[in-house]
Amino acid sequence: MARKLYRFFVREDPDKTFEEKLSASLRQHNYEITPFFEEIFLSRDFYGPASYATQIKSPVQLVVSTYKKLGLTDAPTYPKFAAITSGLGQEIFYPPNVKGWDGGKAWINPATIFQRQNVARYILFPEETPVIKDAHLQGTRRLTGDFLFNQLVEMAERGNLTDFPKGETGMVANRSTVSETSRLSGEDFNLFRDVFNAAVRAVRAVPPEAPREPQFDLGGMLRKAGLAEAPAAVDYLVQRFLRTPITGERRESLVRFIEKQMGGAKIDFSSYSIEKNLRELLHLILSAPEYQLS
Amino acid sequence: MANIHCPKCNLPRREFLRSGLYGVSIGTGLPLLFSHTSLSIAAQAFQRGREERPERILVVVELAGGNDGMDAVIPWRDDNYRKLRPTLGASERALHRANEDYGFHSSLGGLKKLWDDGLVAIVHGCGYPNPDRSHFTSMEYWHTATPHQPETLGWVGRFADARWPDAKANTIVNITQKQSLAVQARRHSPVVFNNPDEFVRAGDALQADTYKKLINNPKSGNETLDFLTAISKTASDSSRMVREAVRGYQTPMPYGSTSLAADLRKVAALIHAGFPTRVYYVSYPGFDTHASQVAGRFYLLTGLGEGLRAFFDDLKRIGRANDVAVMMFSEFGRRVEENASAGTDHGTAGPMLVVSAKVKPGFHGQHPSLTSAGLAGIAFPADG
Repeated sequence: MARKLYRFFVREDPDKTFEEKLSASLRQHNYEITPFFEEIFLSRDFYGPASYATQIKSPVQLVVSTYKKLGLTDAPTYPKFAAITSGLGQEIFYPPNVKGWDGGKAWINPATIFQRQNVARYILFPEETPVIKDAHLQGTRRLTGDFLFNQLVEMAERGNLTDFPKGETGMVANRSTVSETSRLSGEDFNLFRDVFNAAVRAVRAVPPEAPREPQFDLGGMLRKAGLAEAPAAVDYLVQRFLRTPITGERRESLVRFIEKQMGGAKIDFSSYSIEKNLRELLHLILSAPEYQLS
Repeated sequence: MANIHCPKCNLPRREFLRSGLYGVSIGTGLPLLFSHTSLSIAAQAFQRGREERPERILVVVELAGGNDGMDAVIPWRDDNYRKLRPTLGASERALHRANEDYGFHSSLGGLKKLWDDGLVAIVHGCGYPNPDRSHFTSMEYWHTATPHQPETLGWVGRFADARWPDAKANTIVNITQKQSLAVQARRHSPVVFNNPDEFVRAGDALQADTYKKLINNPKSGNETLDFLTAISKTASDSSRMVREAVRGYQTPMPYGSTSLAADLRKVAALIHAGFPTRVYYVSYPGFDTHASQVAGRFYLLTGLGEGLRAFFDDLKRIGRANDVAVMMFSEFGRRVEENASAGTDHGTAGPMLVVSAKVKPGFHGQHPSLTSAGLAGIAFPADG
């Protein structure tokens, strides 16, 4: 238990002697959590280099901390929070099993590392977020498969929200569960059809609100910090967004990038393209492996 | 470069690198820069492949949810089978007879074809001691192959670490949304993707050079950071190859519309592209059939049989049928007696299937006895 709590709050591999000390203290305090945390948070270990920046952010942490570091005061509704976090493997309120998410390194694989960088991109450039057509009908699509789903969409477009597709040839060819169920029970309506109809009617009755994109101003942020040159801007953003510094050749390449975009080292806050350029720079910084660390 | 011919397709080698890897000639529509880098990656992959050829490839197919094995490989002559499956039991006519004692489910025509071709080996009653009927515990044991013990690496991962300690890129490919514990390795960094079109970093083309520098992060002493850097590099090195290989792949074979079909098609595309991958890992979900399982299993097993058959026909077409073995397992079987909802509940053991031209076809091991099984579920004569 002590190890689990320690892992969640501090780091993956606890020091053996410290671990024993912690479990002893947990027992000694009759499993009171408060003195236990007091001990962890006041320990030298908690602030030592072995613990610093060694945890990997969960998808929710990743998105929320990005919002915070951007200084957002209002939670955006676009890109959709639930969509981007579940794309990264964390469907909130819906853990994969009773054990919950494995967390830590299990969040990361070659596909999710790209997706994490892409999520940062969509927050910085919401207009690039891939749009799913008929998002409210995706549940039905999962149930019916593409073939029947397309049939249903076609019928809905013709204004037909009642009938079940007649003539099963297409569905049988597609070998969908639906055809088999309806064949077996001889029914000529279907649950999937009803799920589909309900979703269409719900959206017609209550159209979705206009999306609220993240509101922030990187140019304003840098101007307020009194920065005028590219290297200072890079250092400021790295320090604000990353736990550990980016140095040497890697830092140089970031400086060269933004200087090339701006056509020089001087930041011209009145330039029409300054915000786009700074956001490109920030997207690169958020693409560094360091950004996954918390 | 000398004009070396590829013995397989009789194309000049340079041409082979261009067209063989992606199925389309790169010169035709792609930007010059891309064709250069992609050619050099291709050459690398090709060279790598050549060293080790003829390489054998293992494709692991996980039937997730607990496959009702007895309803796939059916002991149709067993009286107990009929007794315990009064409504779900298949009639003698509605199955593909494999031999005097066993038959395949009526939807497994595709598998029966492979069986007739002598490609299928079936190991009866595979499981592990003191079975745990929870999905994730059982699956975890199958993934680590160390039941009832803590283990953080998977069996595919440990196998790859031991067999290929130099850990070349792309040795393990896991087609999935979330990486399987089975492929977790110490040395290797498995390529993990589901939709190849989404396996790409979004960004302005202007960022390309800077990004490359950014993930070229020297060893930092922070173990987590080094891990993240390694994964970032794997992603960068593999994504373009994966996307091009899968997107450009043309095949006449009717794989079907299931998720397994889609995944096997991706595997065939990567094999065709000359990927140096030795183990592919895919998962086929939906086997947790507690209720009304007839319709669900009709769909699942049709997809399984037809998908496998198309896959092997496709491998034959591209000349790799002798190099590939498919291994199928499920975390547990289901109970022998059907439940009151026309389904079956969690059991213990089940058959394991291996499909390959190199396999000793037929039945192996001993089929579990159905006499005492009832409440206890199937016993497991063959230890997983």
